[in-house]
Amino acid sequence: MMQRVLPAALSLLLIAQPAAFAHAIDEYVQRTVVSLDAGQMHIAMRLVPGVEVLDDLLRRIDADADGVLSATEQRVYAQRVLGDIALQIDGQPVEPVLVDLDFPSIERMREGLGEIRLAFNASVRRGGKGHEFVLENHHEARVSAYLANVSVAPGSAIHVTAQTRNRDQSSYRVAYTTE
Amino acid sequence: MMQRIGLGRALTLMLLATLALPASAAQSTASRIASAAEAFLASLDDTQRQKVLFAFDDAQQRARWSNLPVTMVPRGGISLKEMTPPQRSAAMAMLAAALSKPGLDKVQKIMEGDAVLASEASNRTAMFGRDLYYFSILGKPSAQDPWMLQFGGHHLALNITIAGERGVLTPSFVGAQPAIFTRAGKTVRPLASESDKAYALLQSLDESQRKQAILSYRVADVVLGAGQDGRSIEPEGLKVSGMNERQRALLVELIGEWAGIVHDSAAAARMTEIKATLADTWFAWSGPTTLAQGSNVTAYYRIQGPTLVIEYAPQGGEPTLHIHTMYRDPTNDYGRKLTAE
Repeated sequence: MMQRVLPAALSLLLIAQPAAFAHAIDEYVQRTVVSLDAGQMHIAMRLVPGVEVLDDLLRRIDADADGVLSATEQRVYAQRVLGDIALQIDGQPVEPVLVDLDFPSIERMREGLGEIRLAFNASVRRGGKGHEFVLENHHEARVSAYLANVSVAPGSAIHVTAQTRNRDQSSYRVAYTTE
Repeated sequence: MMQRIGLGRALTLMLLATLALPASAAQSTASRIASAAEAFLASLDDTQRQKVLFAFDDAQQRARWSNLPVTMVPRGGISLKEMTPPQRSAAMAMLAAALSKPGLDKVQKIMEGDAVLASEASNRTAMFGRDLYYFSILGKPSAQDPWMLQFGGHHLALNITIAGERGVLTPSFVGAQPAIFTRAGKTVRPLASESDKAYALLQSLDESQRKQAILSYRVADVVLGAGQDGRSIEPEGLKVSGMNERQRALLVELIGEWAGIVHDSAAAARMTEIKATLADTWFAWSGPTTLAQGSNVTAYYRIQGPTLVIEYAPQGGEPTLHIHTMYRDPTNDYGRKLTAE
């Protein structure tokens, strides 16, 4: 049985170039999901620095270079991310409020696993037919890969009518209606 | 026999047997998986068994999967490396019972690909290899009551919830690196159909459909990977209601590459569910629209419906050789609809 399932002697030869182990090690992958609810916008960010860009990033997060991300350093960094974000709702600039943050250890990040999680809230107008928000993320633009999406709960009174992005998803525009 | 019981009664029995066939066949599949799981558990010593078994509702263990190597994200359960040859045989027999033949073949090729990675001098061999795949069982294997089988390692995470005749494979991560290699002189592409069928669908679209399906922006990786259970995003691209019959058939075939990993009766039920809302399903493509002969698609694509999310995401500098895919039902992660959690 074992021989059939996992042949013991396989001649495994790689063709093309050797495949180096790579999970976006040279990019800072920033996944953002904007959840729309009645009267509220929730912005969840998951930031994963690749190991090749980590040292440079850590110099800006770990201000005292002690190898530990203190609560103060985490909060300062979260505010820096917030400062690199521009949000407009219905044409008006809106300042999201930091509501949660979670940082992995530097050791985890060095293994390529560190996922920094930040959450922000913003108020949205209720009612009215046509609405729009524009979220721009310019944080660490030189090395970042952005993924921006919107989520609406099933059965919600909010309906997304259009989504547009620029090529690298650093600019994300969503049109929606509310019942 | 026919003469002894009488023709009429024989026909009646045959008819009853025919009517009962789908249910009994499904039950026999559930029984077969449960029996294989019990045989696997019986092959383990007490310490191993304790490592393999978890409570059915253990939320931490359910979510303890990843696309990353097991040295980076430790998995629960025990690995093939920790098993004796008979235990490995029992473990793989359990997996074979839970999967379809093509599904098992795909899984084996993904594991072989990881063995290729392990054979490369430039890589740390402790991170990769076909032995570094873990089994865990949540709940008690049963032909009737719900339980879960988890199997995974680098680039593979199968979460199989079994509830009687039903089987749910979501969420599951199915990736490959290298996604092209040779074995005994033959080229192996673990995710060949996921690439080629998607490309055939793209090729079938007319100019107007392509304008809708092809996104203008780059998608670097899967959006709804590990840690995103139960979440969904707004769909984009070309809606299936705008596809013709042939295109729909191509899409259904493509979806079957993920839905068909699990055993046949569960896969059939899942495809019925997906087809029921096919018109509300979307197909989106981001990246190159060409495909080199014998290679893999280097574009990201997503198939998304009311109960379905499939993402195919080639990675970084070696997109033909390193592929991530994600298969979800945001309404039914870990079979919660079956178990009414």
